[in-house]
Amino acid sequence: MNMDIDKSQTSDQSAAVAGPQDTKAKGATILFIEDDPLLLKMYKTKFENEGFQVLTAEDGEEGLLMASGHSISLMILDLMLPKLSGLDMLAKYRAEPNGKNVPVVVLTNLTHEEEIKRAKELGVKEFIVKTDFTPSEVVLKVKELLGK
Amino acid sequence: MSYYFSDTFWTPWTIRLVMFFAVWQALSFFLLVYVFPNENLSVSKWVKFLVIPIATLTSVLTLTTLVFSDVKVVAGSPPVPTPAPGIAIFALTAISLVIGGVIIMIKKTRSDDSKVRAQTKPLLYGFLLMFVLIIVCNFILAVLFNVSSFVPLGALFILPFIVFTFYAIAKHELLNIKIVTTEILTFVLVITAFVEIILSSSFTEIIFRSGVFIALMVFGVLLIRSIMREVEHREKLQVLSEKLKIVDKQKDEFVSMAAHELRAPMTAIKGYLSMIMEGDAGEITEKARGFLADASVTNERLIRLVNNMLNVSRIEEGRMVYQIEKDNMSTVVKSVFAQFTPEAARKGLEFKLNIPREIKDMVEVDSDRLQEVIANLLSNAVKYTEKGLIEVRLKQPNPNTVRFEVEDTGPGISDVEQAKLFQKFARAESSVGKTTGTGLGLYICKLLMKKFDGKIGLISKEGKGSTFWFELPLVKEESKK
Repeated sequence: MNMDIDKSQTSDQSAAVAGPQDTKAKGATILFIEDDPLLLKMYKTKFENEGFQVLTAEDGEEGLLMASGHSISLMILDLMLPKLSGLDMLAKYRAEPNGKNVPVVVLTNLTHEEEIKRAKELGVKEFIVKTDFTPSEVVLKVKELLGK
Repeated sequence: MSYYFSDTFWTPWTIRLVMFFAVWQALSFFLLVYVFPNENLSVSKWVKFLVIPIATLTSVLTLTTLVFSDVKVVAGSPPVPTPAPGIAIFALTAISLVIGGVIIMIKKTRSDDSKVRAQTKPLLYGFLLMFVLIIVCNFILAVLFNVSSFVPLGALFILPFIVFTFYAIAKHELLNIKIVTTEILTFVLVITAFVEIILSSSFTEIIFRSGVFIALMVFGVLLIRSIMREVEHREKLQVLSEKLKIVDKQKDEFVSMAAHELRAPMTAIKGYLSMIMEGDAGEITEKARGFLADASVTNERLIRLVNNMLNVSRIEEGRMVYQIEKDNMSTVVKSVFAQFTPEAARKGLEFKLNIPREIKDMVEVDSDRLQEVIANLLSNAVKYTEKGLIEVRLKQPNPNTVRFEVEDTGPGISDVEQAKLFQKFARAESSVGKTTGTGLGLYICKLLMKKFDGKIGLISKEGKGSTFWFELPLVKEESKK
């Protein structure tokens, strides 16, 4: 357990010092689209603590508006969303000029095979089952993707 | 070919008999369409007390002089029947029956029940074909063009209707072909036996053949009955299995949905607990950290349970989506080992990890699923061991295989229970005394290992602890990049 605090403390310290590898990730703008407000708050807090700018949206339509109106470095997307499903929203976003190359991570709890296939066609890099990852592990994944 | 009788007695009677059967033909057409595609002849009151009696009366009427009073026979030309007033009744009845049948048929082809629609359509087509043939040959050609050479074929024109009806029966299994065939065969046999009796030349032959005839009758009826019963059973079974499929699907949908609904709150609990422990909410005391760690362990167990339920239905239906990638097994083992360290420590168990430094462990798996396998095995070891040691090892039994082992000093498992341990819903109850869990964990481990071309098993003796192991084939490291 002690090891865990040490790790987070060192990463916080390195944030203050802003190591060369982290510069890309720190200050990057992440759009979080998630319909469960409790989970949204949780991830937002964690990512902000890690130095990210976090935009949030609670449904597909709002998410598409946010994505179109802002320059974002990465999108984290739930698939089961009200109004416009995650993948339908992503398809529309990919059709926009500034949405073509933004990396997308799908963060969900239930996926069907067809959804995964379609998501891959839409350029989704990573599938994360929510219950398998702590927020800090999600942060690590995002840092990995942005570091490339 | 001449089909005219010139006999003054037979000619009117032939015509009357034709009329007589025409009424019955129209009635059976009506009843067939009315009942079709059901098997039971259940008709409404107005059919029973109006249609059938009227048709019967009309048919009797045709045999009297009320329909045709007389038939004039002139040699060399067709006989000319003299119509009587009763012909109007005949025409009305026959035409009403046919039109009524057609209306019912059309109604059924528009039924809400798609099955009834599909079944009735061939009947309608067959009827239309018959109707067109009769109109063309018996009316257009005969009356308008004076070509009467097709008229004698009249009786054949009903064939399309019979063929289409038969098609409907065969295609949609309306009346069971098996029963119909048996009935026809039995009928032929019985008729043959009967003819043989008639052709008998001596009294003993009559007795003998009558015996055969009666025996055939009895066994024929028994045979038909038994086949009918069998078909009935089969139909019932079919209905039941359809129902079962629906229920099974509903169950899976329910499990999926329930699992999904459970996962959202579990994610929040896991996330917030981890964040507090990681210091996102500021410093907390060591004691609080310990409690949170316990809560976290319990939550992880809950997550594993829900994952197992979800996975079983997915794997069994082939809906499981695997993300197969190359991965080092030691990395996966280390991460799962770390997850269980707090719980083992809390129970006061010695918890050791032993991975040889030079081990080859590159495997091709879905690492999330492999994690689940290892977590299930470690979870069992920690759950069932009250004191002593749990050792987790990686081994290299041969250059192409990596072997995982977890050895505990728990109660051990009897041979009898070992045999069924990897089955669905199996739990080592008697020797262990604990009945918690779904009994799905090891079953899923086995399914997943099969998927990854691996093997899984255990070595155990009652009172001497257990070693659960699995082996996976290695992939060549140089093909990693």
